[in-house]
Amino acid sequence: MDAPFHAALSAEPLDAARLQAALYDAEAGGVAVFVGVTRARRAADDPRVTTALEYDAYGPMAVRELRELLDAARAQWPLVRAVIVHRVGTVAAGEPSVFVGVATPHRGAAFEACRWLIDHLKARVPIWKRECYADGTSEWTGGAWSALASPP
Amino acid sequence: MSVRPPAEAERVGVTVLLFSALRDGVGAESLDWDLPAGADGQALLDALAEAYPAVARLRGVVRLAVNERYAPQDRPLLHGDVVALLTPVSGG
Repeated sequence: MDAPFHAALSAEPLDAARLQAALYDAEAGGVAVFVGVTRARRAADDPRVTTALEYDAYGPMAVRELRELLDAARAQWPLVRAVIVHRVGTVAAGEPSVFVGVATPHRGAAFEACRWLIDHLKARVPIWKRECYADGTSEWTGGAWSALASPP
Repeated sequence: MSVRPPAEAERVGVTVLLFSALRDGVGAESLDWDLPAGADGQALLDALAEAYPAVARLRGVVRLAVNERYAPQDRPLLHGDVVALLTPVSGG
């Protein structure tokens, strides 16, 4: 975590406060953070209750993709620091599953880069979630590729 | 004097990686698969779809990664390639 740019998968619970603290830098006046949290309902009209999400990843490729997203973001915005960590394994409903944080000299770039990183992470990084419902059933989600995942 | 190439040159052996719904459907997280020389990702998917109903069912949405990078399905595969079959991702 000492490096200013950090991308990883974690089998352990995410400590958002610690990850955020790693973004503070005297050169960066703006820090924007997105924390994805597992929802108990997939959609407002879905009666099933999700108790946990199980995340599967193609680990080496996922980390490579995350690093490439950081490189691409650095080419677009003046990032001083950036951290992306995604959970793998079981995440109980209401717990953080992904942390994206960026530090930039001014706030505008921080908001933009943070949004860009989470949107592209969701579109193309090889990670999958399985919804585990209260009734004991479960299913993998992910029906279609996002337009942001440009075909190779 | 003609030298017959080693048998390995006539076939392409790849490692296939499976995740999430495909891993559950096929019942394996990796497969060793032999293809004729010159075969591409399309040929691999044809063969796997014939062998595994789960691959046939999801083939329309599968994208390939070769050696940890997204790759077009018409790319010829090389002996030793690691080919991942990726269903639409759902991280976040």
